[in-house]
Amino acid sequence: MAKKKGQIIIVTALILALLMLAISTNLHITSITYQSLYYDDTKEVVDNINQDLNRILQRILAESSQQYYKGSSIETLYSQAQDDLSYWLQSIIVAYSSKGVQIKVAKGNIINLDWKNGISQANLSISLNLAHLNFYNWSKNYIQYLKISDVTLSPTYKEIYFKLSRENGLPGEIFNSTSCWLFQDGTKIDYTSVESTGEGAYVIKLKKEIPKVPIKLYVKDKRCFYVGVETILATNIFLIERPAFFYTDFSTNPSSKSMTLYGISWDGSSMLCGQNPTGSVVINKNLRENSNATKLWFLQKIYVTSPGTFFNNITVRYKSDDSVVSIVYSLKLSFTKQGKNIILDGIYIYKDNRLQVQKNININIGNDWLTLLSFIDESNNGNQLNLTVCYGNNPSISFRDNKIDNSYKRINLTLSFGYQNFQGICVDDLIVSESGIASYSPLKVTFEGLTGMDNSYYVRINGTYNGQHIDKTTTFNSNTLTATFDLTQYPIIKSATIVVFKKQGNNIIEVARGSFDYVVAGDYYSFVK
Amino acid sequence: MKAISKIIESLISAVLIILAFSVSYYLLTPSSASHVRSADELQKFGYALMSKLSSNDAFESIFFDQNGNPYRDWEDRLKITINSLVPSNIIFEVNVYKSVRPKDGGILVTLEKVNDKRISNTEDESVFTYVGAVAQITYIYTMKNMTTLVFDLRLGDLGGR
Repeated sequence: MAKKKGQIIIVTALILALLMLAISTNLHITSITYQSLYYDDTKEVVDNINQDLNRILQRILAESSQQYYKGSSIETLYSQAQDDLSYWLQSIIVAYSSKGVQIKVAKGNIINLDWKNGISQANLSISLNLAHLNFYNWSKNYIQYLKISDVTLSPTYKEIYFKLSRENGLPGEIFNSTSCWLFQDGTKIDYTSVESTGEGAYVIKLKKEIPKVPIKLYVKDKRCFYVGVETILATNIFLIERPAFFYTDFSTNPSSKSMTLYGISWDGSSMLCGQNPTGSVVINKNLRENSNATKLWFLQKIYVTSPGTFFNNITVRYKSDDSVVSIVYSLKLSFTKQGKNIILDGIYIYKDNRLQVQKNININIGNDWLTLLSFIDESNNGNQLNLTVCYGNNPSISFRDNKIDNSYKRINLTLSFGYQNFQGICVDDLIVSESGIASYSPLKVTFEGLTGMDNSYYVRINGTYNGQHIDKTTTFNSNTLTATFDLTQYPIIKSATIVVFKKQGNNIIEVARGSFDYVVAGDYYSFVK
Repeated sequence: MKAISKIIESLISAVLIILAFSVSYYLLTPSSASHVRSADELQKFGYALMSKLSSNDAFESIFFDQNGNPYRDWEDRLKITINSLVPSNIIFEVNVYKSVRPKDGGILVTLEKVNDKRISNTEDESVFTYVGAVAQITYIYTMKNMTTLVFDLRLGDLGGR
């Protein structure tokens, strides 16, 4: 019995030992199995391929866009890009053959150099397998992108603004301050600097103002991508130059003698300048913004009912050192029953909305409207009228001396209109403009640097003139990049809207729109993108 | 006699249990865990190292001067650069291959070794067979001149940090 008991102890110990060994072995095998899975470097391999694919696309786009800038054909570049990609794919397959790399790429051109729209782009979709790592169907779309947009020419024609953007909506960054190139009609345009104004916006300061558009702009970014664009149609509209002018807006009834004079402020809003029931008015306003103008223009529409003499006295007061100087100009017209020869420099006379080209003209007196367009030429006055002044931002600064600060000097203009024979004359539609423009010339809507526009584009202007609704449409001229309206009868159009649209079959596609309180004949309205 | 046999039985049982414990302890103790972890970390470290060099264009400045001319001593420059980035207890050896475009009607690229000198921080190549953990990393990098290079990096952990 004791013998049996001793065997039980040994057997029990043996079972316990075997159990412990079995459990330990099992745990050990489990541990080893887990650790062999942990060595898998799939993530790192995919990461490396991912990074280098971005890199090769960058290299391809940089090289292609540079060659395109230098004049290579797009077909050659497409082919070269495919060769480079093929080389890279093979390199990956050979380098990672131990991982069982399989890569599928989408067909088609991987680069897109659409410089009509200012875009340089490389795009590729891949599907990746690492067969030896049991990793399948990993796919991704890659894009490298540079776009130049919003190219606009400043109203002074001495600065060019543009915006640079890259993929994922990020702002672009130019390579350095010399990595912009501007051309006009094949001639390189020099500039002094390129400055960033933030968020991918840049301004190029030109050495000289450029006379016209379109211009071609090329830019190189930090990644050595090149992109180019020809200035194209804008969605915004701005005024190149708004001359100071005044206009009357009273009844066209010849019997009315009252005169209300309005002026247009620089922001386009209307302002009351003076009122006088006798038909004479004195205004005292800052006159000009444009320092390059040399002439003061006056346009008047008069109604002559009987013979007499018409005086138009214009007094210009300005500051000379510490004293105020006045210069009086007098335009005098005499009318007789048989007509009057008029000999005056700088006066144009319109009758029936037609310019009378002869200096000596006969005006048949009757119940008739005449339009007088006259100007004062500064150069005839020995530069007494120093109009090299600017419209200052601070209204409290006035009459500042030229010797102190030319930039804020102002001129005050006083106009007074007198008529010898009030019975026979009524004045309507007085326009005073300080710019060298003829106020009764056609309105021109100019399109700054357009591409892609042809004769299928139209420009429409509507508004009112003396309560009359005006609605005119004209075609876009792709050669001159202008649309010209004959607004001889409408020197001012109130509440004006200018719309650029395109006809596509029966559809009308609006391209750009601008609204103005007033549109003035002879002025230039520019559409720039 | 009875007492003696009991003692013998007890001793045999005790020896069995102790033996079982010993073997279990050996199996359960992660004696190789440090090696396993080290190899894993080395692998990750190697990729991180290469990724860092590629992301800031360091490879370009190692191989080429500012005018794009290749350096003659680029092997030394690569060695110095990597040596400055690895801890002192890590040994490395790197071979650089260039992917060569197919010639003479061939359809596949081939890899050609481009380093004539040995690029390593250890003189004795056999050291890698003695160290506890070794990692082998293959890394690709496409240069600005459109040449794809393949870096074959071997790292070894000498231990004793």
